[in-house]
Amino acid sequence: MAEKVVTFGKDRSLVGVLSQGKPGGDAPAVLVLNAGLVHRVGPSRMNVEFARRAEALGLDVLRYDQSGFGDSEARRDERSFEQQAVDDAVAAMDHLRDTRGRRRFVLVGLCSGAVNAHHITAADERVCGAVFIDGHAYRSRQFYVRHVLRRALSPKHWASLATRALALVKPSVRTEQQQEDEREERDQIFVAVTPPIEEVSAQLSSFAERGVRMLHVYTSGADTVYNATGQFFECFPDERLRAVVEVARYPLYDHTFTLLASRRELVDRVSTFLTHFVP
Amino acid sequence: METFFFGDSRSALFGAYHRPIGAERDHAVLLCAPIGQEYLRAHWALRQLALTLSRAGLHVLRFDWFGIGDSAGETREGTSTRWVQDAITAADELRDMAAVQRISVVGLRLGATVAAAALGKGLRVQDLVLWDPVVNGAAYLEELTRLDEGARRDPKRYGFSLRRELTRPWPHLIDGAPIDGELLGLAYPEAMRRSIAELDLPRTLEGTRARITLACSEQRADYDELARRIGVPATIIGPPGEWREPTVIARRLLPGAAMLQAITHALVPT
Repeated sequence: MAEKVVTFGKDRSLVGVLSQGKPGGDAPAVLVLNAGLVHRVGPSRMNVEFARRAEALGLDVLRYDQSGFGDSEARRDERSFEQQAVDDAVAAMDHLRDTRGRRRFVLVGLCSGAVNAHHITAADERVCGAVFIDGHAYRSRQFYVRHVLRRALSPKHWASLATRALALVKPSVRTEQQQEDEREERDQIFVAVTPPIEEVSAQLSSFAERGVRMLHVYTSGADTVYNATGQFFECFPDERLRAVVEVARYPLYDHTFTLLASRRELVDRVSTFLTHFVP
Repeated sequence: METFFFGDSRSALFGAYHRPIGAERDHAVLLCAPIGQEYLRAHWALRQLALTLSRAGLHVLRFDWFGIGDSAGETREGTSTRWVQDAITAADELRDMAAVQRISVVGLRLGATVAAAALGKGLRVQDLVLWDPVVNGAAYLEELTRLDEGARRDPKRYGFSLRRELTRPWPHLIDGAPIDGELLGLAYPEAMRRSIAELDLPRTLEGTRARITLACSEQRADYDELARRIGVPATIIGPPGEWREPTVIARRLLPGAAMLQAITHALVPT
């Protein structure tokens, strides 16, 4: 293992750990982004596992905390969360250009990290690849057909319908779903605003035009919007995407790949994707 | 704040050193973090504590145990015996960096228990603050096992899957057997479990000369028993850490200013 702590950005206020791959060469470096509020090691240390596997492939990997997360200082200015994430990634790329001679970059992001990876890819043409785990997803027409068919087979769904019907007759009965909605509203910390599909579609097409290779991963955490592997191409039919996009769906795994077996499978899948970038 | 790796280069530990802000004291504090999912929950809280202590003029070092966080090693390679050595190494590093005579330790959850075990292995401290400590290693493993079973059966963890719905009482039919004795998604192989099960905080603290503070975020029978056995009152300062609650295992710990101030006051009496 060849890891070192790096500080970069304005006033060197951003903190990251660099896994040093093979020096020199033209291989891109990998940036691993924060997932939700978890600091740079990632949920269940997932980002460390990504970094060490990619380093074993010979790639430089920087896992870092964006402003105000983990060990990085918060910026006290008016920029949006989204703009901060982009600016911090640009600072990370500049740092790796200056210190390691890297000119191209691959991003890995889960949840809010995937959304940020999308913004960063749109903002900086040095990004040549990205892994989006439970990132942007949109319902297609076929989604609704699959959704209805699957729910029709679910005993829990029928039980829930019966409770709702009872609640209509006797309004004092709060359904399990109502209670769940209230709990979720109370617990919500990170709220992602989903941009219009036309906007994301145009950006994805521009990524394809640039030759950006993409791996889109979806878990059961995205089940309410994404329920089949091929749904990505139902929503984004641009033929150019088929040459650069890979999709992996894990309907039995949770959003943060908590179980070791699931995380191993994900890390294997991401490592396989990253081999595209090994000279 | 300075961030760096220290210790043996083959098994380097990640550290974050906070210099005193304002009037500097001849006193440094080592923060010992929890392990497992509790480590992830507590990262932000320990950083806030480090900032609070540094504003009180103290030198502070946070660090990651071997096999945890940014430190070298795989999760499965950690043992409490190894972590005791890490605590001693980190205290030496802090003493060198801060150039002070007095070292104290604040330990959270298993971090408190390991720090206490290190007292018997050569770690010399003035104060030992036990924050929501793990009182008994074997009981802690049982607690984690219960949390793990609860999490595996938690219907909210997964989206809709007919296969999961029909096999909910038997999650192993889909998830298979746990790997490396995993609990809550992190490896706890036999050697690690054995070493944790050996930890018993009241016994470890017998005869210690360190001044002990017991800061608890909620009332629990094991904290009461610990307080009785070591003859130190437990100060209860909420909000509760909810360490036994399966629905909050991945939620950030928010200790509140009162807890941070109470710990600071224990180290720097006014």
